[in-house]
This record gives sequence, C-alpha cells and structure tokens, in this order.
Amino acid sequence: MHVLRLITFNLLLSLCLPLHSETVTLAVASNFKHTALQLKKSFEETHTHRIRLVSASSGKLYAQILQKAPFDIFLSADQHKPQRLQQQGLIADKRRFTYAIGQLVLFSADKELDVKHCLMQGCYKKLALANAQHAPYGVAAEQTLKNLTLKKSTNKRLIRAENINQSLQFILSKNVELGFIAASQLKQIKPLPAPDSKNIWQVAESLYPPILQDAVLLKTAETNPAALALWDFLQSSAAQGIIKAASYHIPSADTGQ
Amino acid sequence: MLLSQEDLQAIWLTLKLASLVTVLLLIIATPIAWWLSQTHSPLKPFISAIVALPLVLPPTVLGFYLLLVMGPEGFIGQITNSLGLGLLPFTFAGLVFASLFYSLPFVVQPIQNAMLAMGKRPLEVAATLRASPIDQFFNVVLPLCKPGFISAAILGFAHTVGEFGVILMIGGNIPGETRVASVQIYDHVESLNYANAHALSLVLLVFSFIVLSAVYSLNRNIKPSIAGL
Amino acid sequence: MRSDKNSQKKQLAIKLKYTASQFKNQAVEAAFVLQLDITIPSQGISAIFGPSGCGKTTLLRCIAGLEKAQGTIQFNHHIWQDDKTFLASHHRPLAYVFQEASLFDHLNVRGNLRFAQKRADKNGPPQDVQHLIRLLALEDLLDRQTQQLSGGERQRVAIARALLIQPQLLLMDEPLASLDSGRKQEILPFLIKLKNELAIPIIYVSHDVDEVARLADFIVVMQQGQIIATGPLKQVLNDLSLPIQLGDDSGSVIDAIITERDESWQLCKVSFDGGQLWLKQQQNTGIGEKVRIRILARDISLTLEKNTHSSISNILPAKISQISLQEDEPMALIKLYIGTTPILARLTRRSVHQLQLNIGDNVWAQIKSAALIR
Repeated sequence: MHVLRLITFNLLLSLCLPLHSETVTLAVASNFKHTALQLKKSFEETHTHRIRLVSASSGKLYAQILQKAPFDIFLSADQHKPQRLQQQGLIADKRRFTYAIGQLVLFSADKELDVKHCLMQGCYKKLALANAQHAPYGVAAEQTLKNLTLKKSTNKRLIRAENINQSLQFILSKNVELGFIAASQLKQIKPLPAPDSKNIWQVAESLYPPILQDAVLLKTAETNPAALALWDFLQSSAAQGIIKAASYHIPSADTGQ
Repeated sequence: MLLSQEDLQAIWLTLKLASLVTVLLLIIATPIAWWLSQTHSPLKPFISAIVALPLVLPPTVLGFYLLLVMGPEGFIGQITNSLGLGLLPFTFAGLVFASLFYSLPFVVQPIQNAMLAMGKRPLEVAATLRASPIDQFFNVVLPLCKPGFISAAILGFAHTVGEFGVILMIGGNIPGETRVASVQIYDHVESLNYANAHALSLVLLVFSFIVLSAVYSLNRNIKPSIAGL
Repeated sequence: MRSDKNSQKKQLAIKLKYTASQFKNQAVEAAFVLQLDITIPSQGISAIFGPSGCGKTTLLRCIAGLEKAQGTIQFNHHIWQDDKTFLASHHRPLAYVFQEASLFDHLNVRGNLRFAQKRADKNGPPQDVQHLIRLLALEDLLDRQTQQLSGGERQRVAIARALLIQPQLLLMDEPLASLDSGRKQEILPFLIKLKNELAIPIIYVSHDVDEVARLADFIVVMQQGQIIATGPLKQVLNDLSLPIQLGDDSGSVIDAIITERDESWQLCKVSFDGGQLWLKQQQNTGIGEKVRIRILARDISLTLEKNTHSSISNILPAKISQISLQEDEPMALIKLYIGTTPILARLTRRSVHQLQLNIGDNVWAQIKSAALIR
C-alpha cells in the first residue's frame, strides 16, 4: 500500500513538474557508479532535470551504444572506447573530455601487511589485478609491475579479475593476499582504512600511464536540454570537487578533448 | 585463422572441464537420484531442495559464495588448506568443484525421473531372479534408465560448457588453468574484439551442436534395437 | 515353536504379522493387518484363495522377501526369516511370477530368459531348456521384443523365466488375472503341464475358484488378513462352513480315470471311487488318463427314488452325511457320499423340508452337468 502510494505520488509529481524538466540517461562505468550517484544527487538539487543512472562495464555500455541504447551521456572507465565512438561518429561534435584520472593503489585485507614491501619481496602467493585486456586499471597495474621489474617473478601468481570490483572481492575474501585496485574503491570499504596505513600503497603516478576516464555526449542527446545541462555540470567546479573527494585526480585545463 | 593460440587453449580447457565434470557428476548424482527416487524419508524434500538450489541463485552470486566458502576463512577453504591442498579458487580443481555444484540439478533430475518412471517392479523381478542389488543396478537400472542417464550427461556437459558467471567469479582468468571459452569470449567482447568473439563463439556452438546431435542420434538408434543375447 | 516339530518335513512354515501402516494411505482408513500362522506342503500346487484385498498378495510378497513383516518363515530346513535373520529376496531359492508379466523391456524374449539362466542355481539339476521352451511354446517368440508380445505370450515368457532360475519354490501371483478368458484358456493347460512334469512346489494366489479347483492340491482360504480355512483342496471344498461363502461357486472336485470313450456320441466315461459318470469328451484325453472333475453344488438335485425317465444320464446313489441350514438363507448345502467320495449339493431350504431329508438317508443324486477340468 505504502509503495503504491509512493508510486502514485511520483507519477503525480512528474506530471506537475515544470515544462522544461527533462530526463537524462547517464551510462556509467561500474567503478565510477558510486561517485556518479553523488554527482546525481548534487545535480538534481540544483536542477529541475532528472538523471536516470545506468551502470555496467564500459565494454558492455559501449556495445549497447553501438546497438542504439537510449543513453545521453557515457562516462567510460577509459579513453579508448569514447575515442572509438568518436571515430564512428556517434558522439556530438567535440563533446568528449577527461572527467577523471584514476589512481592505482595496492591493498591488502591484512592490516599488518606492509603491501609495498611484500610486493617487492614477493612474500605473497597470489596477487589480484584487473584484466589488462579490457580494464584500464589492469593496464596500469601490469605497467607498474613491469616498471618495478617484477613482471617475471609475479606472472605465475597473478589472478586476473574481471574488473577492479572483483579484484577487491578477491582481496576482501582473502583469496589473494594483496591486489591492485582503484583508490576510489577504498572509500567503499567498511570500516574505512586509514589512508596512511601500511596495507595501502598509493602507487606513484610515474609508474603507470595515467588512467584517463573520458565522458562523451552522444549525438542523439544534442537536443536534450537535460543532457546538455548535465554535460555542463560535469565540467563545473562543483562536480570536480565531488570527483576529487572520491580519490580521483582532475586533469589540468588542457588535458581534455 | 581467427582463433588464436589462447582461444584454442580456452576451448581445450572448456572441453576438459565439461567432460571431467560430467563424468564426476554421473557418479555423484546417481546415488543421490537413486535415494531420492526410492525414499519415503521425511528428509527427502529438504535434500531435493538443496539439490535444486543452484538453479535459484544467479551464477555470479553462487560464484561469490563459493569464493567465500573456498577462501582461507571459508569452511571448504579450511578443509582443503588443512589437507595440504591449498585453496581452490583460481585453480582448475576449484572450477571442477564449483561446476559440480552448479550443474548438479541438471544431472540429478533426469536420472531421478527415469528411475521414478521405471518403478520398483523391475527391481523386484530382478531380486526374485537372484540378482543382487549391485547386479540389479548394472543390469536392470542402468539399461532401463539409459535415456535418463544420457539426458543427464548431455545437460551436465552442455551446462558446464556454457558456465560463465561462476567461473568468472572464482576462476581468476588464468590461461590454461581457469580461462575457459566462455570467459575468453567475454574478454574479447569487453575489449571490443568482436571478430574474435564471433569466431570463438561459432566454434563453440558448432562443436557443441555436433556433440549433442551425435549423442541424440546415438540414443535414438540404441533404443529400438537393444541387442538381446 | 511349531517348526521344531515339523522341521524334518518338506514344508513351508509361515508365522507372520504384517501391519500396512507404513503405507501412507488416508489416515482415516484403518491400517491393514495380516496375521497368520500356517504350514503349506512344499509339493504340488498350493492355492492361496480369497477375495481382492484379503492380503493374498501381501502374504506372497512376504514369502518372497519383497515385504518385511514380523515373524518367521521357514522353508524346508532353511530359515528365511526370524527375529534375527531376514534373508534378502535374491538369497531365497524361489521364483516369482507377477500378475502383470513384468518382463524386462530392455531385453528381448531370449534376453529375458538368459537373465534367469545366468543367475540360476548352479548346484541344481541340469536343466532341459529346450524342453521348457517347447512346453511353454516359446520357440517362435525368442527373438521378439517384449513389446511385441500378447498378454498370454508375455505371461508364458515370465513363467519360463521364473522356472529357468531353478527355483525350489515357485510363487505365482494371479498369473491369469490380467488376461481375458481366451488367454486364460491358453495358459491353463501350460500350468497343468508344468505341475505334472516339474517337481517344483508352487504357491498360487488366486481369487478365481475355477482356477483353484483345476490346479490346486492344497488350499489356504483367506479373508481380511486372516486364514479361515486350510487343508487339502477336496477336503476344504467339501467343508460345509466354507462353501456358504462361495455361494454359486460351491462345488466339489473328484479325481477320476477315463475308462471308456463313445466316439459316436462324443462322450467319455470316467470312473471314481464310488461310481461312474458320462461326460463330454475332450480332445487329447485317452483311456486310462487321470482327470479331475468339478461338480458344482447347484448342478446336483436329489430324489428319493431313482428317476428313470429323466434326461439326466448321471444318476448315482448317495448317502447324506451333513446338512447345513441357516434361517436367513434360502439355500441349503448338503454333503453327500457317493461311495467314499464326498460331494456337495445345493438345494432350497424348502426342498429339504418337503423331501424330509435327514442325515443318514439314502438318496439319488442327479448330476446335471460336470466338467472335466483336466
């Protein structure tokens, strides 16, 4: 009964909204979903438009966009897929920018474990990372190992997770002693680990190519005022503040496009 | 050739996994099906439900729980660890173990149904013809329930070949060890290598089609012409 | 225990209590209880006779070990079941013919027979398989699939299969019940041949008096899980307390010998202890052959003087030995002796009264019809 009333209320509400209120469908890579929800909240507080959030792996969203999924804005976990969409002429003219730069961390569920030391000494049996074939954090992790000249010694002990979420699952269930994840994921762990504890190692940015995450406005969304409003909002300082707080970096002014 | 060395390795691994799981499941499922088809025990509904549970849970969820159970703090993980076997996740043995769970209902149910359809009478006849229970099983139950066993084997095999969610969860995507064809196809799709994905899928489908139709036609041919002595 | 006394004899001693409460019927229904204590000779054919649901089949299944009851079962010197032991079915030297032939459908006729042959008692006497196949006329069926057989053929195969196991005891559960009367007539001669040619004791469950009269030497009559009469067939059939329950089927069985054939009238004469009867001839019966004759009580009428002007040709002198009258029953049963042979006559109570029949009276028995059943 309560649910029914709520639905009726929402229906009525949507009918009563001012004429210029529209809905934008935002397709978000899974690892950014948490942050996207905060962005949605902030956006809807300041705008009459509504955001409909869809999340899946970037690869799946990409495939869905190719098949004419009704998305307006796509926040990919990498730069590669937005570039391909651009090449295929599916995005609005010049509507691509880097909305976040991912930060790689090495993490263990064992609070007493000095992860950096352990990695360097090879004190572990299994090390999780995302699959470099399609996950940018996986590419970063592989590159880090290579730059630390650990590639050979670790190769047999690498567990390639489908994505960084699974990488974190492997770590938390202690099926692996340590693994590479995104700094943003640490915010989701309860209890929140202290950023300076030794079971977290913030991998130096010099060790891996930047994990650039690009946003695109799809061509079909060019006439949607809600999509355009959200597009502007994503580049606002308010949005950047939220993204930074979620442990991402923001590109300096000319990195985008 | 669109298939890479890795693709072929994934196919081979898939077939190895599915065959091994099918054989093991036939061995495990037969006594379970037998018990379920014969018993009047009050435990029967509960055991039936446990056998059917893998049907309820989405594969990734089942995989997630297997990951926990097989992990160092899990019940099975502690057993395998104390036996000196190490941990099962990210190993071929782990995939086999998980697949046994996952495909169990698909193997138990056809066998159980065949045994129910057979009824008690053939066994009573055999008993009064001095066939011991083991003799009865091999010379009466097996031949009479053969279609059920064949269906069970087909379903078990096909279901394991198509297994994805569970393996994605506990496999760790290790080439030659846990990277089966379905995961390999998924990787191709995720990394936008659609052509490779299509090729591998096609090979998997064609192969499965050939195997399945061979078994089905073999089954059809056997039935009407059971050789007497 | 009775088995001590009789342990030297060839017999099957059964003392059982079986409660069918483990079957989950409707809870309201009273549980079926089978309780009995009998000794059955282990030779010839012993019939277990009674209406449907009286527990005949359950008793047979208990003997076979297919059903577990409390009690003891001893066959000759071997204990099949007592407080401590329960011999599994496949360890009991018996064979079982089920009501429905229950052949193995995955094997053809030959395969079904081989199944038994392979598992036959290796210590038994050498078996003439070809003879058995001829006896049951299976020669042309051997390569058939079981699904291609008629009901009668299936039952013949089942009987052959049961015999090939070399049983020391053959159990038959209404082997003819699922057949129509034509098929019954097809199988009955085979059963009679089996009885005459093989020395295997048979326990034969049936609810058909006619079948029992034709086949059995010994009879156990059951009702609602209890035994109400047991003994040699002729004795039990002539027991006045029992035939009341058989009603129209009451009758006697007489063993006789064919002594004369009259080809012109297609009749034959049989002699028994006490007299002679003229009967319709039957094929394949020759002079000197032992036959069994069944006379229904309702086919006998009594006169005080010999009626020579009757169409009835079989009129024999008899002496009344017992009269059974019941107030609420219009029909009376009278036990007569023709020589030393007892037979039953069924008359109305009024006739008994009008003729003033008394025990010890000499009367004439007019036998309207008698069937040569073997």
